[in-house]
This record gives sequence, C-alpha cells and structure tokens, in this order.
Amino acid sequence: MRSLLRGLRPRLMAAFLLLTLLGAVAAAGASYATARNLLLEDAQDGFMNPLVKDVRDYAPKLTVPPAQQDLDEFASYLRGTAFVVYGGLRAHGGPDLSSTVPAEMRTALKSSRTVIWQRRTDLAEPYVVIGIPLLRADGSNTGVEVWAISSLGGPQRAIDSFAKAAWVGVSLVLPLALGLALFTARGVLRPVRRLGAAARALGSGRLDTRVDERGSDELSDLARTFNRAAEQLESSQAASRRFVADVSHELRTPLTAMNAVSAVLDEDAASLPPDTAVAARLVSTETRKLTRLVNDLMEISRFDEGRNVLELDEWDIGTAVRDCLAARGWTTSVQASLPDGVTGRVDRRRLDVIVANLVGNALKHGGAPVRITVRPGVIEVSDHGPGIPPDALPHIFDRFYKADTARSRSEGSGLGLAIAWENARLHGGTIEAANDPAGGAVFTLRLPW
Amino acid sequence: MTLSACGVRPTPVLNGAEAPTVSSHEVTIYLLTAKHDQLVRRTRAYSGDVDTATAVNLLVAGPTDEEKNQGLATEVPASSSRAYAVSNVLVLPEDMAGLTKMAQLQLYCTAIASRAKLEGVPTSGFNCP
Repeated sequence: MRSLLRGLRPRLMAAFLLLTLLGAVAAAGASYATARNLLLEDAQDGFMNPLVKDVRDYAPKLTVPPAQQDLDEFASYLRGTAFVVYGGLRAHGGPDLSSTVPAEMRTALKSSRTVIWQRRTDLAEPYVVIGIPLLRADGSNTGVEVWAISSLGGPQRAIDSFAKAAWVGVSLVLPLALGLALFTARGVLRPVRRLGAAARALGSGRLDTRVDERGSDELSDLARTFNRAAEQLESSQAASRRFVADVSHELRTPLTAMNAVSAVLDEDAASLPPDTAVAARLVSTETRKLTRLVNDLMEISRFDEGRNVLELDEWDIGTAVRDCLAARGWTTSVQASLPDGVTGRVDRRRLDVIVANLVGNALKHGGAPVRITVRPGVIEVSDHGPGIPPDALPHIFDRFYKADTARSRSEGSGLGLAIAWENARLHGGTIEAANDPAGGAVFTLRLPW
Repeated sequence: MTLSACGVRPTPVLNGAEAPTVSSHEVTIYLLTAKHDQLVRRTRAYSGDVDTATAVNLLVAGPTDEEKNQGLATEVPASSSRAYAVSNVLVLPEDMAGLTKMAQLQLYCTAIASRAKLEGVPTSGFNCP
C-alpha cells in the first residue's frame, strides 16, 4: 500500500478523490437532511394543523362535562378522523385508538397544556401521533381528549428515493473526479519528468541541456533555476577549458626552443662528462614528454572549442591500420587481422590517432598478445592483460583518468583515450571499453563509414 | 442499512400549539332555600353552547351535589325532555304540568335572568332577588 502511494500521481489522485468524496457527500448529505426535514414537516403539519384548527373551532360549542351524544357530535364534526374520549366515554364514529396510542403519551397528555405529538417507528411504517387536550379558560384540564394518527409511509418513500438519488449522484461524480485528477496529475508530472530527464542529461555531461521554462508557476520557476545552473556550469567549464587552452598555447613557444636546445644537448651527450650527460638526456626526455602533453592538451582544447574539422576521404581501412602500426614499429608486437577490401570514408589522420592511442594503451597497460581486428564498421583492439577494474570502466575515457592509482607517472599524457574518444565522436562513431570474459580488455571502435 | 438509518427517525413526545379551550359562560338560575320559602340566586359556570333555554334546562336538571350539600332545593320537577326557546319565549316540556308557586317563581326568575319570557306563568311584577 505504501509503495502504491509513493508516486506523485497516486497521491494526487487519492487527494482528489478524497476531496470530491467529502464535498459530494457533504453537499448530498446537507441537501438530503434539509429535504427530509421539509418533507416530514410538510406531512406532519398537513395532518396536524387542520385537525387542531377543527378542534379549536368546535371547542367553544362543546358541553363540559360531555354526554355520549356531545362526544358523538364532536367526532362527526371532525369527520370521523379522530378518536374522542372523555374518561370512560368514547365517541362512536371515529377510529378506535384506545390500544394504539402509547401509554407515555396518554400520561403526558393528562398534564399537558399544549397539543402534544410524537413521530414513532415501531410499526411497519413510520407514523405520527397527535393528542389534543381540551382546557377550560382557567387552564385546567376538562378531561376531553382528541387523538389521531397518520402514517408517514408516503414521505418515507420520497425520502428514500431522494437518498438513492443522492448516492447515485455521488457515485457519478467520482469517475469524473478521477478523470480530472488524471488530467491534472499529467499536467504536473510532465514538466517534472522533463526536468528529471534534463537533469540526467546534464549529469551525463551534456552541459548544453536546457528545459522549456515558459509559464509562471512554480515548475517554470524550477525550470528557470535549472537552466541558470546549467548555464553557470557550462560557462565555468568553458572558462576552465579556455584557461587550459591558453596555458598550453603559452607553453608551446618556450617548449619549441627548449626542444631545439635539448636535441643539441642530446647529440653532444657523448662528449660531456658522465654526470652532465645523464642530466642532459633527462632534460631532453622530459622536454619531449612535456611537448607531447602540451600538444595533447591543445588537441583536446580544439575539440572542446569545436575547432576540429573532419577531412573525409575514401580509404582502405586495413591499409590505414597497417601503415599506422608500421609507422610506430608495432608490426611485430601486435597480431593484426586486416582483411583487404574493407573501405570507409574516414579522416585518415584522425583514424591513425585513434588506432595509435588504442594500441599504445593496450601495449602499455595490457598484457601480450595485443590483437587488432578490422571488420566492416568495426575495429577491435584486445589484449590479454588483467582487464579494466569494473569501477574504472565508466571513467576510462575521462581526461587524466588512471585506472591504477598507484601508477602515478606513466609514459602517456593521460589524454590518449580521451583524444581517441573525441576523434571517434567527431566521426559520429563510438568507442566501447569492455572486459573479455576470457581475460583482457577489449576496445571496440565503431565508425559509420 | 445506512439509508434506513438516516431515513425517518422517531422523536420524543413534543409539545405543539396551545391546547384549545372550551367556552366558559356564567348562567344564572334560581333555587330555593331548604325551607322552600325563598328564592336563592345561583350563578353557575357552564361550558358549551349557551342559548335562552340553557339556564332553564339547567334548572330542570336540578341542583348539583355541591348545591344540595349547601341545603339548596328546587320544586321544578325533573323532565326527560328539554325546554326550548322560540325567539325569546321559552317552551317548557309537556310533562311539567301542575307547577307549585315556588316552582313557577323559580322558572320565571331564571327566564328573566336569561332575558326571556315564560308564557303562562302568572307572576309578572314579582321582583326576583
């Protein structure tokens, strides 16, 4: 039950139904009570008032104490509708109510100075009993009593049919309320769902996600807040990327000079004293590494700024991969399965970067043998190393992400896979990282060539 | 079940309009003292229709128990039928022949008190008490 009511929609609908039920029952109940009272009052007054009036009209003519004849004349004046008694005498011609009138009313009438009446339900149908005492001018009781009874069966049937109509009305309103609740819930939930989807998109890195913020209700407010947050996030990310781009650019000019100087030092290392030679080679190596890092950073920055463009051409993929391996001297260390005739429209330079990064990564971190397979639309690079830890899989293409935190320094810039991924994306393709059940990591590049 | 529960409910015994009252009239009749020598003026409360014959009929019906206890008497004989009035003349029942002097005075004074005359009762000029 709790899980059923957890959603916003069931809660809204339950509240709607409850409200409707309360309102309908209250309205129907109030009008039912009013109608019932009116119907009963009407029936009772219609019966009692004429009788009391007749008795009042006849009373001055009645001889007290009355003889049998006086009572009979009285009863016939009342057209035989009432039961007239005086002590042990009773009028002929009226209904005999001597056993019907309840004892409590008979007792009450003895001392009453007003007409008394009671509605009773101890018979099959409800009925009303009226007792009229006749008083002397000084207020003492003459002992003459007039009794009458009237059934309330008619009003009861009317009241019952009214109640039935009220219940039918309430039950007809409920589906209507349900429909209205569904409609309202949808109106409220649609923007909420849209906002949820946008938040998920933002969370997965699409910082340009925005939601429709038209309207002036609280949900539109929320949408505006969301959009502002996304904008700020986007601009702060853009600022940090611009900073990286600027720094890389500024570093490149001195690095070029340093490269030239360290190359000279490297060449002359043999003629230098041993300690100085080691230092010269170290400077040369680190300078080259730094140059590669700065180049990779600039490449990533170009991706971020969207300045990279594809130069598509029809290429034989097998040949391209083979050239790539040969250029880096990996022909012997990598088992290549490169069928002829697989061609595709790709940017040759970028495909080269992707393959080099994937294979280089496999050679560095995976175990031998590293295998590369080309199939139509797919290039697969697999190794036989320990594979990628499951918690690292979602981040393997993140910048500077290291699956093994103990390995603080490595040959690469930490941007290789990120650059490969950006290049694949530029082609409209994807790279997937997975672990082969037989052991080792598998990177699958899919390009829509 | 719910429907019948909120249907017609019984009520306690309730008070309605003021009870009707019967009329109350004062009727004057003349009775006799215990010695049958003097008229006694008597005013009775009477409920019901009052006409010119009402007082005489009450007289014919005789004194009440209370009046008897006070020692009052009558010489008007009882009758099974009633006196009636024709305009302002009262007609006595036929079986009331041979009235005594005091009975005649009783009837005469009672009729006068009812603003009526009694035919054939020769007592004109008598001052009723």
